[in-house]
Amino acid sequence: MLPVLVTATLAMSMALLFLRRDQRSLLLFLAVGSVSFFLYTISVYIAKKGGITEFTTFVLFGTNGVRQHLLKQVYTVHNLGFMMALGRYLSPYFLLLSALDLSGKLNGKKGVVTALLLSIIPLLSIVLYMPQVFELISSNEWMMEAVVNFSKMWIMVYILSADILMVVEFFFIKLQFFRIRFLMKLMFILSLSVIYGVFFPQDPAQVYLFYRNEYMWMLGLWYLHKGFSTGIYYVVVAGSLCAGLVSMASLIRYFSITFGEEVAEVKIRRESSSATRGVSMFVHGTKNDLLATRILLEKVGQNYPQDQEVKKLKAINDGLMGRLDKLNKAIKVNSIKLYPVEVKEILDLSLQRIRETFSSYPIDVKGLDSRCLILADRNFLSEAFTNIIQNGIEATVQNGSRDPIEICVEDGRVWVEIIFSDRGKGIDKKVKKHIWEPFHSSKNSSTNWGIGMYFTRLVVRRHMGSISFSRRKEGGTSFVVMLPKAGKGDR
Amino acid sequence: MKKVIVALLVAMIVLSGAFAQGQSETSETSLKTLNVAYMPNYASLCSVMAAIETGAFEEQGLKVNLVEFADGPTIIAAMESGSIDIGYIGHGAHKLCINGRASIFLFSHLGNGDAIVGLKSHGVESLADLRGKKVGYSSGTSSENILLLALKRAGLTMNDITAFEMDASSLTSAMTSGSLDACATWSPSTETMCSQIGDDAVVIARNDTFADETVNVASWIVMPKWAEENHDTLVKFTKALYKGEDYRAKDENKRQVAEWVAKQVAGDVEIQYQTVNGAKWYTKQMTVDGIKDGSIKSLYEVQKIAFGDAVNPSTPVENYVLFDVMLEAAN
Repeated sequence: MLPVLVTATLAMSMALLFLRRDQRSLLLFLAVGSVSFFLYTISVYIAKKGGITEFTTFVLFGTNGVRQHLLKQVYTVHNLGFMMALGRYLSPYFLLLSALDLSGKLNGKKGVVTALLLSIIPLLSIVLYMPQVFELISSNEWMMEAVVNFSKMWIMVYILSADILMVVEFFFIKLQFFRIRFLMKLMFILSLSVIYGVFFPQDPAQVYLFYRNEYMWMLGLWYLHKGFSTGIYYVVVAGSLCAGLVSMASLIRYFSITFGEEVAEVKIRRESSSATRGVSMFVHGTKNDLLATRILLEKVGQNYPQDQEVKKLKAINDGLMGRLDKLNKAIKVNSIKLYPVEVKEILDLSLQRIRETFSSYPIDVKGLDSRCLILADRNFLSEAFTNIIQNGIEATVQNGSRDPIEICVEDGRVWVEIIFSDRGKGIDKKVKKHIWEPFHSSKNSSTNWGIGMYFTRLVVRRHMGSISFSRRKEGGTSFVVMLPKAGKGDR
Repeated sequence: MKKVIVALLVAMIVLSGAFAQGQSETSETSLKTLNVAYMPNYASLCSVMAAIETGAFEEQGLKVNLVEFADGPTIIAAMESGSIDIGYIGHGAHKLCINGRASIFLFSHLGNGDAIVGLKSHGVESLADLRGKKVGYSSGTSSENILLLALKRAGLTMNDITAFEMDASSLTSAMTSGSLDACATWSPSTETMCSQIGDDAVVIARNDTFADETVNVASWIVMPKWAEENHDTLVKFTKALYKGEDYRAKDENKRQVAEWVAKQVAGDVEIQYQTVNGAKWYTKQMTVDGIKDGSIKSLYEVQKIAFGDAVNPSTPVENYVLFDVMLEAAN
């Protein structure tokens, strides 16, 4: 059972690392990896030493075949003991780093310094537990006891610090949405700590010093401890099994939330990253030329104030400048400042912008009475909503209709849903695939550069939200934006 | 997520409850359950399996729960921790008994199962060939003892070989793969190795090679405190073991016992059967006679002296061998 759980958790953390390729997933992978490695060495040791019941064999190895396989692994006692030491001393380090990272305390240079400082004790223990070094230490019983107890002590401090850090962080989070997201991370760290905690008292030096006179009595065989031979043993084993399940369930949950988004994100990121640099240079270069053109047109306009052609040129120039500004904004949605804002305020801003272009187009808004708050950047989010509404109007008009655009705000417990529905002809399959990609447009227009929906999705994602669309039964398309709720506004 | 957590907590409670239920059911039966440690070989299992299969333990009101271990020192560690009541040990772990860690309550047999196995293709065909070779052994067990005797006989020390400390299973795998040039091991690993490697494997020494220097004794042991607190149970257990020994000793039962052992260790019957004549197996009568004429005590004395500095040679055999239990159970 345990190997299946551990392998599955390890595989998922590896997949997460492959998809995200960031510090957080790397640390989670290293934490899971080191605990798994430690459990592997413990399992090999138990398989070789024996003394376990059929039930324990089932829990630890799944089948007797797995146990026999581990039993036949060729390791000298020194190699196995040192491997166990590596797993034992790296696990608490990476668990603590993961906890620090998940609670936002491992950023920047300060984070690097913290990580380096925290690595000193584990590295020291690894050196001390190199068989040749430890055998030297063990010639002095007092010194050996000190090393053994010191390693136990700092492990407990690291693990407890990681757990306490996560629990405190959890209780500091006031917003329900973030609490739920953090609960998964909390459970993940706690369950890994429990699995590790069940077996960490097994001292690695005992593997290679077991037969040396008094050492075996001092270090003992942890897994054969008296407590493990009674009903408590079963509870502990069941506990570690459940911890393993929680650990895996947490990761599955985390994985399933991010997986769907990540696959699309990675693709879009790839599409946009190569374009972004080029676009940035293009925008700056072109904008300078357009500004120069604008000054020239101003001068020409002063000389020929009644000339219609000059006026047209000025309008085209201004339009180009506007679109370039928008493009520039779209590729630079990096620093968004979030403040508690009522959804109503954002929508009012969006509608105000829409009215500048579609002054009389009917728009029905429902559910604005709830006055729910979200964390948002007014300008960015309202512009994103404007894009959706504008697309909806254009699609409806293109379909030969003038039905109103419906905007509905659903006030949930954790999320606020804002649904934008139009009466267009719907989005065809080809467009669906590429709708979120930059520079992709279904509109046959020289003024449309296909960055609207890319920008919208980017802004929504920066607001920790999600956006999706579906075909309406009655015809048309609904775009659903889900944003984490930040509470209720004051009346 | 909350649902998942609640479901898992419920599962944990149910599991724990089920196990607790399992525990109480065992205690409700009239038989007293004993956790008995063994090693996966014929020498360790033959008498206890015969006693189980012939119903000798049930006759004594006992139920035996067999737990497999790799070696004697680990069995003593498990007994120390309280998870095992009674155990079987080979020659090497007797050092711990002499040093007061456990008490012997039954002499099992005089063995010849330990061996030094070499690979001809690696140039090991005699004890002298061990010089400079990669030799695997299990520290603290009879494997280490026979290796030290072999090196001494060849005029070598541990510094003259490249020694690799390994467990018994690793020794077999390492020899089969050719990672080692030779190893010190015990039955049935010796037979398994020879069977898997074929003609390239050569047994260059056995216990009887060193009969003039030491004896290879195997025994049944308990913790001294446990023996005091459970004297009657211990006598009953010994009675049942005597019955198993007597059953095993008969020629017509040898194949049957090998089959029971093979079944228990999930191994090959023929490999187990090959070791049937690999020791001087004691019966109840032989034990009683051996105690009365002092020959069993002498064997333990010789063994103690052969351990050299690893034990205190002035420790009286009576301090760690419970002859009274052996005699009482024989009545």
